[in-house]
Amino acid sequence: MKLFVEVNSTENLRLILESQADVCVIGLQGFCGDRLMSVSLETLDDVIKTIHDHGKKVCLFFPYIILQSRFKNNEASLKQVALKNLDYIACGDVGLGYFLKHHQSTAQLIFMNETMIANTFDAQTFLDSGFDLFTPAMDITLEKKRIFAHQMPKQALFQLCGTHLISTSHRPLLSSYYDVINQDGPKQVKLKELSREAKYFGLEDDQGFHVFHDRLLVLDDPAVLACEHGYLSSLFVDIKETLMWIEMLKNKSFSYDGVKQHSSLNVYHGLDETDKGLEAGT
Amino acid sequence: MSVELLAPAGDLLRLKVAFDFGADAVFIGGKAFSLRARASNFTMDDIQQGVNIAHARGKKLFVTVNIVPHEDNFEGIEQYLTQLNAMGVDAIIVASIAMGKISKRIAPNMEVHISTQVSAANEHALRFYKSLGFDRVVLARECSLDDVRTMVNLNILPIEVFIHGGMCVNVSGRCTLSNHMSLRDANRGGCAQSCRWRYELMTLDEQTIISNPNLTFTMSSKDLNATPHLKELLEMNVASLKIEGRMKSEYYVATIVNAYRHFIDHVDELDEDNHVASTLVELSKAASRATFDGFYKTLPHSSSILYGINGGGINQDFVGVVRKIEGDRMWVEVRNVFNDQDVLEVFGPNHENRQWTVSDLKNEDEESITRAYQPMSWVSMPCIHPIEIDEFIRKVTP
Repeated sequence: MKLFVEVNSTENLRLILESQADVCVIGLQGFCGDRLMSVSLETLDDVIKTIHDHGKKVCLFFPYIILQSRFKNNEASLKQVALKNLDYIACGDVGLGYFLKHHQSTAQLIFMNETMIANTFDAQTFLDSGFDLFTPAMDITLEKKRIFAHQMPKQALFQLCGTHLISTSHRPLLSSYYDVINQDGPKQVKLKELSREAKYFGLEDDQGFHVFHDRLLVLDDPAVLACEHGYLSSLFVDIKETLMWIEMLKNKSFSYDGVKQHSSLNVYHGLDETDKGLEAGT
Repeated sequence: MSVELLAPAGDLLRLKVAFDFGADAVFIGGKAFSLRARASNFTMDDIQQGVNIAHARGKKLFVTVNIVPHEDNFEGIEQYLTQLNAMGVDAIIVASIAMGKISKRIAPNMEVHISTQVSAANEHALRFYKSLGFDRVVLARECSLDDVRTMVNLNILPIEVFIHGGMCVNVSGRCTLSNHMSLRDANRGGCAQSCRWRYELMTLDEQTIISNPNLTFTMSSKDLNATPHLKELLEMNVASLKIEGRMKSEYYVATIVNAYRHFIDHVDELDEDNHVASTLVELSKAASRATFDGFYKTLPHSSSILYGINGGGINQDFVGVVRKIEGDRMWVEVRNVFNDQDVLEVFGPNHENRQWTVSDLKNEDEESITRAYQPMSWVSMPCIHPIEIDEFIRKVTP
């Protein structure tokens, strides 16, 4: 399995380069907020070379939608990105993928989005349209993830472990709130709904306000682990834990209990306990 | 090119009201494959009736097929789309490109519109959807006027934008708060609107509460009202102006469609500032939440959020519908309470609004009454002129 690992800082990059990770996932300045280590276009070549020199591949991840004006203002830069020596480019915006494909990008294109591909028919349509890999929706049940694993083991990129995004807003919701209550506050917080115990991570950056689950999603299903690509998300997680997951995965000892034993966060298998959709609320 | 005014309808009654009050097209949901599972939605017979009503008036009917489908949700889709096509449905609105492709294969003449659920926000996304053979894109609500103008001018695909109604605070289709907090799938019709709940904020180590207990954190968005920018949207030739709200009442549909129809039809005749002001007043008569103008001019800040308010209010200004005219009296079907001497206003698609003071109120037994309070009962009162059957009556708030 090729293991993609999110890099959140220069220090983390140094440690991940020493690990058995196969692909380092980084972001481009102005397009990834605080979710990833952000690299300027000017320094991208150097970072790519450093990662390649360690025998690893590079994935540049654009997690969010890109509005027309922003796209237009950065079109020259994005054309340069297409020509960089990148191994993978992951797009949360379908338009970016289309653009890169038509500007001679030789990188493998990943459609990486937490919600949009919830069935193999859509996945196949994205693949037929020029994407090489895709991430199945995060909120589908384990049983449905197995369908992807069985039918598309080479193209599905599963998040195997880590916190994950559950909503993203373009609005600066934390700053807005701090303005209203007339006080300053941190840009990374925990949220708790008043009548419930569950908590969530909140993060505001230049891309908006994002909510992440505060439990670690752990996918240790054999069918999923038999796929060719796996992804580790490391935001809000101590780098030592991420390194441990890499080691467990490479040593084929990765398990729900193993992650749980060493984590300061709660863990879960994903939304497999229920699956209310069309019938909900009727 | 004349712009299309596109209205929502949760059932046949609201569909008729939308067309009566000036919608050029109406979008509805069937019993399957549609978001807004809590809307009453249309049976197949209803859809056929809806198509017939629309086409008899030279108008269009669109059907939402806009869930983000899971593997098992494809069961029966081909038969469903075949039926919609056979009925004469003008377009389907999809969030799944696979469903869109299936539709194009089996019903190439039925248009496929890409839902705002996919959050198309740039010209390259439009090119992608065009390459798949689709016919229209509903833009992400995060787009500014400049974004919209640029994409319209590129003439890649016809563009539809929202002008009124509820707003997702999060990027549409990319929010699973409801899934995780309520185990209800937001992208398959079960959204619990968890964004509108109240939250305590704390530091990452959970040692310090940051939020103010008297004004808790929420992500609850005000509704969209694009009236201040409507003239610009009309001038840039977007294909369609969309009103959100398949779960809204007939009164809401009538009021909102009527106001926007009036604005569009008189845009060149009236002073813009006054036109905007009077439209805002008219729209406010059906408002259940405060509104803002979306992302059209600036990135929304704190004034776009409903702090300290739990959900939407209920508007009780709608008091009845004119059902019958007998000599010099009119019969009104009651919806909300009103009293003798209340000032009421009647509005309809063919006349300016008219106000009068209620007097000589009688019940169905011709007995004099001072208060009409039983919903769906009929009361009579002296006619005002002009008046037409099916016009709506509301209270005038002092």
